[in-house]
Formats: sequence, C-alpha cells, structure tokens
Amino acid sequence: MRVELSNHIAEKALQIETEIDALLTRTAWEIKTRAVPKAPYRDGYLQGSAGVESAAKNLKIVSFGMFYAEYQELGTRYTKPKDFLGSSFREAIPGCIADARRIAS
Amino acid sequence: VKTLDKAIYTLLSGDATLTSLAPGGVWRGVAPVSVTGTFVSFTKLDSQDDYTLGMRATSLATYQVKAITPGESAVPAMDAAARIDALLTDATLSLDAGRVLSVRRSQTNELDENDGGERYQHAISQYRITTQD
Repeated sequence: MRVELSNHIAEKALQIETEIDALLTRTAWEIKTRAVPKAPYRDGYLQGSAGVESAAKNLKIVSFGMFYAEYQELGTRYTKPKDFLGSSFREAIPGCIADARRIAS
Repeated sequence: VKTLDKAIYTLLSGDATLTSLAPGGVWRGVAPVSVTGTFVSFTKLDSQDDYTLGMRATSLATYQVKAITPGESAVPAMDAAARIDALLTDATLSLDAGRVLSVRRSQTNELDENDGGERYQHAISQYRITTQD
C-alpha cells in the first residue's frame, strides 16, 4: 500500500498553452478582419494581399503582402499614415488580454 | 484653445536641440514640398474615450511622430527621434481644457522610402497620450 503525492502543473500548462494558441489565432483573424476594410482601396490588390500565418505555436503573423503596404500604413514624405493595421491591433488587443487573463485564472 | 496637437507642436518646435537636429521644422500632418533637410512631422492616429458613470473619464490618443531625412543614411533621423523621445516621454503638456496624465512611447519603427530613386529615411515613434477633460 502507498500514497502518491503529485500535481498537475505540466498537464495544466499544456492546456493553457493550447488555449492561448487558439486565442492568438482568433485575435490574428480579428485583426485581419478589422484591417482589411480600413486599408486604402483603389484596385483591391492591397486589401487582397492580407493574410494570417501561423508561424509557430503561439506565434501568429498578420501581414499585407503588397510592397507599398508599409508606405500606406506609416505614411511617406508626402502622405499621412493610414494606420489600418496598427489601429486594428490596438482595437483587438484589449479583448485578447482579457481572454488571456480568463484562461490563466 | 490649446489642444493636444498645439501642445505637442509647441514643445517640439520650441526646443533648440531638436531645431538643430531637424532644421526643416516641425509639421502637423505632411510637410510642405519646399521643406529641405531633416524635419519632423506628427499625426494623431486615433483616440479612444473611456467613460465612468456616464462621464468621460479619460481619452487615450495615439500619435505618430516621425523624423524624416533625405538620403541613404538614417542617422540624422534617428538622432532627431532620440531627442523627440527625450522631450515627449513623461512630458508636461499644458492644455487650456483638461490635463495630460501621461505620455509614453508605445512602439518604434523605421521606413526606407524610395520615391522613384529619391530616398527618405523615416524614424517613427508612436506615443500613447492619456488626457482627462
């Protein structure tokens, strides 16, 4: 007869990591969904170049593939910044943090 | 009325060190085409209000401040951006109505603009500014 003492830290950590990964994926798609209609539209190539990439576990990338995307986002010598991606990030991140806190608790 | 835009302009344009680093001046939005050399431009990106008990408690604005220099070297723009950061971080900005609670940089970026072979180096910083009515 014996008594075993153990914890479930490893199991719980894996569960949290999986939930956070899913949360980051949802947030990345939310950022993209918010950013696309805000991106400048002339021929549709910029809006159509938006994508979400799952680069690794807990690493998601939202990108606009057209070479002039950063000019539109950040502005140039002669144009003001359109801030379509940055503003979408700022809008989406509070919800992501709130959800992350829920998961952690 | 002294708005946040005016307060930022007054702070940046009144600094002798920044004027020497960016002799092209400080501009809200886009600088005129006639401006030469390193210059500074700033733009309000957005502002979000926060309400408590039906009253607007605070507003959180995001400003993008750039130092832009012509040519291939980004050093003049980066030097000017460093001075901008020294001036703006935790700056005391006075407004006619309301007050500024905090000014903190939230991110930095760089852009190498190639306009038909004409290069411009951008040293970009974003600041989050919390104000109270």
